[in-house]
Amino acid sequence: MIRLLVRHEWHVLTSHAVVQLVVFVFVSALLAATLLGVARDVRERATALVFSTSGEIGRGGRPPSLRADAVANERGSLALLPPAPLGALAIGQSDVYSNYFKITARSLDGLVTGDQIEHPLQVASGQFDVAFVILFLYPLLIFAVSFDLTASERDRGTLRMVLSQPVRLREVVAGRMIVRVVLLLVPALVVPLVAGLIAARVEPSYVERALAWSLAVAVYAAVWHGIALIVNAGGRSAPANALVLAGIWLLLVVVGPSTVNLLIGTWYPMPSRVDAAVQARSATQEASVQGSRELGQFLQDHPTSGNVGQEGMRQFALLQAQRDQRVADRLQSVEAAFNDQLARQQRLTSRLSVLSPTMIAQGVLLDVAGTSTHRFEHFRFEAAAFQREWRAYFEPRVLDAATLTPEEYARAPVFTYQDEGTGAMRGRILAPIATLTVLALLLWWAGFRRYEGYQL
Amino acid sequence: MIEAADLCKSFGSNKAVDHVSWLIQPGEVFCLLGANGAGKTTTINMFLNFIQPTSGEARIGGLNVAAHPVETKKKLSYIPEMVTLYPTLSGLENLRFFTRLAQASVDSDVELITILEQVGLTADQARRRVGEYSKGMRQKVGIAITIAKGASALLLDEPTSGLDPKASNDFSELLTTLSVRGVAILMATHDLFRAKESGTRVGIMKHGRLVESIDTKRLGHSDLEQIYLRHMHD
Repeated sequence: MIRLLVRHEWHVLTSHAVVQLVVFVFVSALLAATLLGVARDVRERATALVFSTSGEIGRGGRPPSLRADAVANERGSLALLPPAPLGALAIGQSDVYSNYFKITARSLDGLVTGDQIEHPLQVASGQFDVAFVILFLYPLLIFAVSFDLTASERDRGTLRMVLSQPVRLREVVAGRMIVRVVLLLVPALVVPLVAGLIAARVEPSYVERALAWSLAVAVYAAVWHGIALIVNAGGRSAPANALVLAGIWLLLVVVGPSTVNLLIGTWYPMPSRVDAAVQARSATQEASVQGSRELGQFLQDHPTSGNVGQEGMRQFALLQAQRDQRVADRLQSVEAAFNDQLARQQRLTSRLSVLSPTMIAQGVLLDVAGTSTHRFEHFRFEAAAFQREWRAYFEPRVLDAATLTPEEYARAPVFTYQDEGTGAMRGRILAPIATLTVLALLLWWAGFRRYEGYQL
Repeated sequence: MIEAADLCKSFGSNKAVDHVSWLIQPGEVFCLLGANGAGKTTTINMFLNFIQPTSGEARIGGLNVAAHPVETKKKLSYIPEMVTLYPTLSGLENLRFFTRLAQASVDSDVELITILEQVGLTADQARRRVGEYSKGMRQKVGIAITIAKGASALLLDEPTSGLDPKASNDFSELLTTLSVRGVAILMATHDLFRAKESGTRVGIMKHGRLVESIDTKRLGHSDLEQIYLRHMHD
């Protein structure tokens, strides 16, 4: 019976001009976002390739000077985060966090290389990518095809004709729900596969992430379909349903996240990148000036390098290192304060996200795509570990004012990014996906229960 | 058989149907007359299980509708005042959908078109979108559904309202054909003439109660009108 109802509903619904328009808009938006995302992904990969082969230590190319200080601090090394596994689908935090660090023996140069520093929701809400289409447009289109599940047919009397046959209302409604779910879910799920094929990404982690993405999209959609079901079961007219659903969309997709943004910004205001850079400069200026004064004094005392000798060079290197350390310490405190504030924002965002399925799903999709804060934090953690390794390798040589041998130069550490693996991602998305699933089940259950009292 | 057994329906303190009983045998056409709000449609809704009786039973083929909604609907067909089908589908597609929904054995296009021709629609009309149909043509599709389904009971709620005399007459003839085939028919109507012409029995409802039940063979048109008006003025 359900098959008959589904086939019939599919036939009736897809012949409707408005529904055809909805599907066209959805598929067009998904395709546009996918193509833009793939183009962005290809560009990022090309850039990463250029960076990773442009004379970095261990990858060919030798600096003009092998002086330890010059290699360790002036040349340094580059810690580069590879493009996200599903970066084509979601920009996420990519424009908040830096995807590279200039590594020197002195510091991990993070704060001043970040492109923009804002809290996540503000940034994510302005992007056009597949995640945006799924999170913001998809619910609206679900409502556009679902606001008139039974109302018009009830008002015209067709539903009475249908229900005078040996069929239950819940079967009729279930058939209609299935058609609407399939109609929009299929394009939404096909997109990651298309993006993967275009970008020729078929490694196992991609497959797992694509499946996780699909699951998240499916349960997110189920929540919105559930909301539509409950509203339809209320027995109002189709225009009244449309109005109520539009209000719910506005509340949960626009007003809710905006309110959370406002609350986060009020409780934990984040300084802009410019402010942070100014603070960093101000904090380091004093240390830098003091160190430079000492170095200047040294150079006054030793006007030519000829009469300094190796011991003198070591003293100079030590003074330099002390100055650099003071600068790094001051910089670190500013960065730590900034990162603490960012972490507080993230925690609050995570807690308040339960207020809207859109915010819950956003967290999941970005994590699955590899553009959430988690991957960038992991990258920073790895870069910091590499910076310690770099420093440990070079510091004795710098303080010794040594010149590297070609062998020593070749043995210098090289940064290789080790992704955290999909296990960690799985662990993080489990709870939010379970939350959305339970919410969807409750909504569908409540919707069908409410339909039991539907007045014909 | 269409049987009302001490059927009652109340909405709050309002008794919409008040202890109504009848038994409509196969081949019998029972026409239910009454003013608006007399309880005719509420009664039909209970036979369709759209609303539940407060007490008593609505039975189709001996089965309590409230207890066996799906089984009774297999035996039942319903034609409302406006047969509202799917306007984007053709008459044939609509008929196919409803007969499949009814789990009827008739399924091929040839059989379905034959049935549509029986009720007065040509094969060409059958393939046209129902959105282009007149009310009379849609009512005919309703009858076609009843035939294709092989229903033993037919409920009609003011089916000739708004039909021109010719279409109304055609419709009455189709009802007669169905009753000859042994279908038990319950028709709520305001049309005294059609009730006398098509009905084998006429019932008059007032304030939810069945106040009169008359064999039409014993009546002339003027008799029925006088009886009806007498009840309405009481």
